[in-house]
Amino acid sequence: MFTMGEDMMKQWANNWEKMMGEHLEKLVHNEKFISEMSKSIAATMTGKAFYSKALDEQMAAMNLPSRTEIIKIMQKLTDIEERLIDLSERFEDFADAQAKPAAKTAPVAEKPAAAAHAPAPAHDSKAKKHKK
Amino acid sequence: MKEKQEMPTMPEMPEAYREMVSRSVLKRYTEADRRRLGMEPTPKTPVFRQGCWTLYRCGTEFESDYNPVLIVPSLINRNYILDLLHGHSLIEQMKLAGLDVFLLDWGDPDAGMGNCGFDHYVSKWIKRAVRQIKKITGKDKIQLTGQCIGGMMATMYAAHPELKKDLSSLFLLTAPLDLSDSGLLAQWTATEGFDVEKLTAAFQGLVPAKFFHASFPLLDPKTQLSKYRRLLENFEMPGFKEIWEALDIWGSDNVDFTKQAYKELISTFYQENAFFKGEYQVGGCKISAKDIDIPVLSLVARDDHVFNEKAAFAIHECIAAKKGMLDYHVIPAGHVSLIAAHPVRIHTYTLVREFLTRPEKLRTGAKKK
Repeated sequence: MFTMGEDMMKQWANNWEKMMGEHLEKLVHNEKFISEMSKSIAATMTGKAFYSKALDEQMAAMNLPSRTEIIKIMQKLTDIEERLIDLSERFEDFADAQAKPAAKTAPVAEKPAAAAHAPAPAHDSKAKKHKK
Repeated sequence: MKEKQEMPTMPEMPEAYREMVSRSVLKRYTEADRRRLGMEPTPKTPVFRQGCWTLYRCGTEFESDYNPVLIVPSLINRNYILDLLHGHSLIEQMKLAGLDVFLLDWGDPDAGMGNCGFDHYVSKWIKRAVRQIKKITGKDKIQLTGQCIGGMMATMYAAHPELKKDLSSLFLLTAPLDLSDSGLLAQWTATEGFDVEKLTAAFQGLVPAKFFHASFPLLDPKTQLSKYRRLLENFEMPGFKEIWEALDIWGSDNVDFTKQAYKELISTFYQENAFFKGEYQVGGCKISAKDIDIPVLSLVARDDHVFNEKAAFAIHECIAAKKGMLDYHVIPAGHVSLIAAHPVRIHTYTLVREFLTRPEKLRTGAKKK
């Protein structure tokens, strides 16, 4: 239950919220404002990029790996992992294709044995509980 | 004494309210807060993992008469918006309907993934997740679901001439397709001086979440300003503060973007609208949303502040729509409230359950709305 003083405060807060809301709405729809903001951020980012490049050169001068070089290695690792999984999938497909005709021609009693030789799923065992 | 009573004073605020606001303003949420609220109520088992992303199987009962469902979440936020709280969870509803549900978690990309764009996400990672699901379940077809940008990626999968063979249906949740005039974000990216190359020049591999999330509150400033007032006004309403806090935790739990994906989102999709124009390539093949010819359910939020309805309405141009295989519904709610908060979510859940458990024979000639 609000008192009279609280009601006044609430009214004031509502008016402020309405006024600010309308002002911000106009601002975020103002093309000139957005354009100037974008240019300003772009200029800051260009400066930051220049600074990063200078830092990379300093690291190279000291015979130390720079962040750029470490990221390049990480990218190569990502590519290698991708290729490895691609290959293991191709191998699985090949093994499945080989197993299918064999299973068709084999006597019924031998079917479980053929299935036992089929490769296990490559990555199921790799799965771990992902913690956020 | 009388004069003193009439002076404006702050309304009395409960201590618990002050603590909630403090946690929200300082973004000081911990794992304990998530546990206290009971967030992500559905148990999940990891079944495949590569790099930062993981494929989870949801629930404990996997027997299902229907084709398995793969959910592709957005890249911008975490996937638990789809399993927020008990009674506010799309995944929980899917499990109750007897579906075998798989969920992708994009995790936290590292700088080594900087060159991975949307093409890589779709033609490598979603494809791999689909492959794993087919192996695990023994089913040939998957029901693909995508939320927000995940919906855009699911659409790319369904539009690809080879990849679409894995799918029996497509469910899009607030998914933008035509970004040419899709709202404030489209207006910003079309502004003179919005140069994505310059904006991302300083970032190596990843575009930090705090960089692009800084602009998100400006998409809907009025709602942002009234956020804490609404909490105070509804503080005593049963369940309100729990869902408010769960949504706030989710909203502040942002994910970095790979640089390539960010650049593509801004320049290729927003500025050039290449996907909808059919100029974007996935797996070396030009794709267009217009080529989708499997049954589609598209749910759109009427009060969406991220993409307007026009962006999602574009699905009406696909082959499936012309064949009467499109279910299209505009829900009177916001971008996430249509599945997580608003009472109208019950209607959303009903539509989703009905579509995903619909027999194949009834899928052609679906009702339009």
